[in-house]
Amino acid sequence: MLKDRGEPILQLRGITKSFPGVRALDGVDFDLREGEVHVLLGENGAGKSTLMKVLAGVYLPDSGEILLHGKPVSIRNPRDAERLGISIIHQEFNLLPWRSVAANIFLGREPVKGGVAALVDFEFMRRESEKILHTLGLGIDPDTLVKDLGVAQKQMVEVAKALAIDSRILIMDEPTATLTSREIDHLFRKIRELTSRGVSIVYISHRLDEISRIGHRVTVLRDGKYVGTVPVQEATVDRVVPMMVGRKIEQLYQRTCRKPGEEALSVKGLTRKGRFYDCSLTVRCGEIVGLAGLVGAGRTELARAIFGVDPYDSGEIRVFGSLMTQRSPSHSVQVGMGLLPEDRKGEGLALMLPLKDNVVQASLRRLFPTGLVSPRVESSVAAGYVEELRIATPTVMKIAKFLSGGTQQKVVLAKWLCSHCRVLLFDEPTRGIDVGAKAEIYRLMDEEARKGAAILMISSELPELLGMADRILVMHEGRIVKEFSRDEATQEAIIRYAMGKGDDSSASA
Amino acid sequence: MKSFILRYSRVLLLIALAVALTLASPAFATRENLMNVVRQAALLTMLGMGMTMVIITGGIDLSVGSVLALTSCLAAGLIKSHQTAMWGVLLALGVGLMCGLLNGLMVAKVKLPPFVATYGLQWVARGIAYIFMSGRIIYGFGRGFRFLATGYLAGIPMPVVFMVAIYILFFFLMHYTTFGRSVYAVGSNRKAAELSGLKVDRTIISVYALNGLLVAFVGLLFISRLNAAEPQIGETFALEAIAATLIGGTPFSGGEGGVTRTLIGALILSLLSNGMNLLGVSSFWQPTVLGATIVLAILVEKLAALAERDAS
Amino acid sequence: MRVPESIFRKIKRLPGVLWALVALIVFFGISGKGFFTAYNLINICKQGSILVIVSMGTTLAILTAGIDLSTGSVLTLSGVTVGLLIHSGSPISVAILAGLGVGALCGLINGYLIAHLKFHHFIATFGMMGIAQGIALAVTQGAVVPGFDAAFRKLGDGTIFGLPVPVVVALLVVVATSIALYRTRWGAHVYAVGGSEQVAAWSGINTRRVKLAVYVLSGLFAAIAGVVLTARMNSASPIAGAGYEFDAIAAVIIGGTPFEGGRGGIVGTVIGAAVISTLKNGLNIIGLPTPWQITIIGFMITVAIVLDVLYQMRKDRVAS
Repeated sequence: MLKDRGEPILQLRGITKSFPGVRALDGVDFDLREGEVHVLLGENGAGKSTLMKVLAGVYLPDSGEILLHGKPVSIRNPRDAERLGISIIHQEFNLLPWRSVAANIFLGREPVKGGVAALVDFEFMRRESEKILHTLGLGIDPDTLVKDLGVAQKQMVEVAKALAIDSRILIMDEPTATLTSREIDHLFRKIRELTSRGVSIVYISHRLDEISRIGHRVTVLRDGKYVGTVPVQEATVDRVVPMMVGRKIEQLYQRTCRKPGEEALSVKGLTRKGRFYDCSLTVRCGEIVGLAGLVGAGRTELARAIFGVDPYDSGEIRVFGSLMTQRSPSHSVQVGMGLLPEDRKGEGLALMLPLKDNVVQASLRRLFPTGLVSPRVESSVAAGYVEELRIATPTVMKIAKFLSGGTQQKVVLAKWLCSHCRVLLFDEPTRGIDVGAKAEIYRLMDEEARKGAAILMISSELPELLGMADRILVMHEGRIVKEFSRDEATQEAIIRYAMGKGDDSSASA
Repeated sequence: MKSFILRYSRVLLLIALAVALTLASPAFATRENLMNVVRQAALLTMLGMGMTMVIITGGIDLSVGSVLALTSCLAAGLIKSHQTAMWGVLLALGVGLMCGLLNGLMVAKVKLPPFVATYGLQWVARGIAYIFMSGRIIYGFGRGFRFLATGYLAGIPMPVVFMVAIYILFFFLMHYTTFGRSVYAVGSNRKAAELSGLKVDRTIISVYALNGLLVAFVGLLFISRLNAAEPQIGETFALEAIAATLIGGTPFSGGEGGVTRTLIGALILSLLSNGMNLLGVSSFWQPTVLGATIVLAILVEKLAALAERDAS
Repeated sequence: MRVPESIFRKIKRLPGVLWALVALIVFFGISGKGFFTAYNLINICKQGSILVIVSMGTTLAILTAGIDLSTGSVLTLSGVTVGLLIHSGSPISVAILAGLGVGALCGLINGYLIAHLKFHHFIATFGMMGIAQGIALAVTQGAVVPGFDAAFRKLGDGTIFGLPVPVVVALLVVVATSIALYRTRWGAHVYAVGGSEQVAAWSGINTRRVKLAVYVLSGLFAAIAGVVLTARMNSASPIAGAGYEFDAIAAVIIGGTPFEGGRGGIVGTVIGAAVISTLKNGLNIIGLPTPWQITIIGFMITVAIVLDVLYQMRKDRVAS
């Protein structure tokens, strides 16, 4: 088997890609050999997805070169990638639910019969689809509508789509995130079959246990930089995790006061089937509690359920001792709870509205109890926060969509500070913003905590959690599996638990 | 400069139109004619206010013409059979409110797309109006009721008085109340509004309900002016109200625009039709001018936005 | 044993609205005197043909998650164009071609605004609705263009192989549309654009061209309907097409193609158009006035939409 995996068929050299304010990739090297599964590992924001999007033609790199079979190629759009035999299987499927499996497999490249009329050759499509599905060991009728398939089957249809264009290189972005363990076994068998036929796979994953089952080599990225590549036999937790983490905690994080007061938020046995189970936690006034875990561990879902946006099946939530009976964000805000959502543009800001409207959006009832709004009060309140948060804007009338990412996040933060909510749920508060703005946000969080706010902070950036939080809870597959005090917590230990490997170390300890 | 032109393009258009018409026709800049223009614009402006509010939430209400027909036919029936117009007026307002509530519930709770939800009611309301009238036309109302649309207050025609009152009311509502803030917030980003603790569903339902109420009121003015009610009235009203909104510069995407723009949009439309009359252009061209104005207004906006993006 | 199974599957796949049509026909057959006469049935078919032709274009627009509000006006304008040209002495063929050209041009403008200038489909076709209507009124001075010679009238009341010409034209349009929609790549791409424009674009489909073609066809079909209607009525009225856009949209929705696009098809639309035509005719025969027709059609649209939403909700619940 290993003899096939000699020469790299694909090489990426010195790929650099910057977005406004962020250098997402910084001279990254990567190579892929024929018939191998090359695992790409790294924390959120390490640049894995960006690198793969460069490969798939979604992003153009600022510099660097891509070599296919030793020859430089340029991939300017998804079509180019397809022509070169590179396919990417996205986490959110690129399929039309109301079309048949065959129509999806051949979408955009429907075979036509000769002649003037150029009619689609459905028979050929069916036959070919059946053949491809068969090689994947799927008993799906090509005429089935995609909407009637399960998640695992949809994923295999994506794979079939890639095979139909004879892709030699397949990029899979966390393919097992939504699969059951039996479906994962099946997927892995298929991956092995594919590699034995010479297909090469770039496999993005967080799950170390999977990696040893399926991968051949592991490459680690960190902060947009290439860290190293190791054969999978050597990719033990002890070897890989330090590569992923690497950073030392910087002086970015300042906590001026750590004196927890009364209990502000208390959650007991909260369960939403399929998302999170039996989650209990408390946050005190003046305390910042971190919530760590991998993407998909259920952290965001838990926070949204606590806030009343998403439903839950059982459990109870108390805010300052009183039981939450109404499950609605409106009620939550009224009792003093705020949520800073993960998706800033999608859920945090009214992009078309002026800054001032955004700042007071969660405080309308507080500021204007009669229902009458005074624009002057609005402006002066907003101006106060612009000053306090050092929001870079010429005027409070500036439309939110014209502000930079970090500034936008400060506006969302200002919205919750303005609301005078004492219990704040922060979901990835510093994602995608530059270091300067991050430092500002940490300062503000510290100040709020000092003034007595109770903050629950979800973050995928461990240094940030370690720097800011008083306690850190770790979630794995919907459960809170570990609580660390500030002194106990280390990046390695948190990652172990987040990856479900916590027991190994405790067993050996 | 460019952004100034972009921002005030509608006002400039209105002024340009007025200047052009003044030069082209001596009959234009007379008190009588201008009053006529405003009077013509009155009902459309009022309907436009409601439509604008709906469109700012990211919705649309196709049912306004039919609801107007239904409420005014029902009102006409009651007004004719009673001594006082009050019961008819109350019935009309009540039914208008109900229709709006129904639309709002379909949009907010059943989560139908607004186009679909109001499209269904459009047919049903019109049909009920026809059935209720069963072929007759009700005409000849009392003087009190007719005063609503034909009377004068301090020398100003009543419809204009109402128009100004409704405009002020809506302007105040949209810009100086928490309700107005919610309307813009919902239209700009429904999820963000919900996460900010705003009562999104309640806002949407209120908007459609308020629009229904307004439509019923305009219907009363309309039959008061016509001095008659028949079920086919108002067939083009929804589209005209949408046209006034769009020409005024409130985009379909929601969260932007405002009632002042719609006031200007309605005035532009009225000036156009008045000007065509004065210049002896066949009124047959009116739909064409309406359609072309909408397309041009949006076109200018798109091109300006493109130019701005290229510049930056 | 494969055969009966596939038959069942086919029956299951037929739109539920077919049963509504059958029920309507049975109901009117029993209660309406003169409904089941050859004359009346042929009449329904002729009336229905015009609607079927228009609604083919509307189906295409709605399949791409768009809409075409201008079909009624475009129909009128094309009819008027043909009428005026014939009266001014043009050969019939030239007049017809000009009429069709006008329709296609209106569609092209719609398509260009929507596909290339990113106009909201509602705004673009709404604008065109007014533009075409106004031109039709202005060029006729609001008057009906009356009376044509027999050669042109054949298009309306002649027969080919015993079938009324409008029915033949409708059949041709339906067959052509179904080939384009179900047998060509373009058709597959229409569904893809409606299903998800992003997925379509990522699959390398030129979504602009697809949409442009959809609106051109919609305009063209409206024009064909306009020509046939003019011949049938033996006059070109400047308000002949008023309301056709809404009847066509109703036919599409009742026929099971939802506003969201990406699913549905023309078989349902043909049945939907048949339901509307039968309903109007039957209600006339049993003496129910027009208002009832409007209300009943309105209810049917609402029911169709609500049923679809409920069906989706149930599916979602089953899925999760």
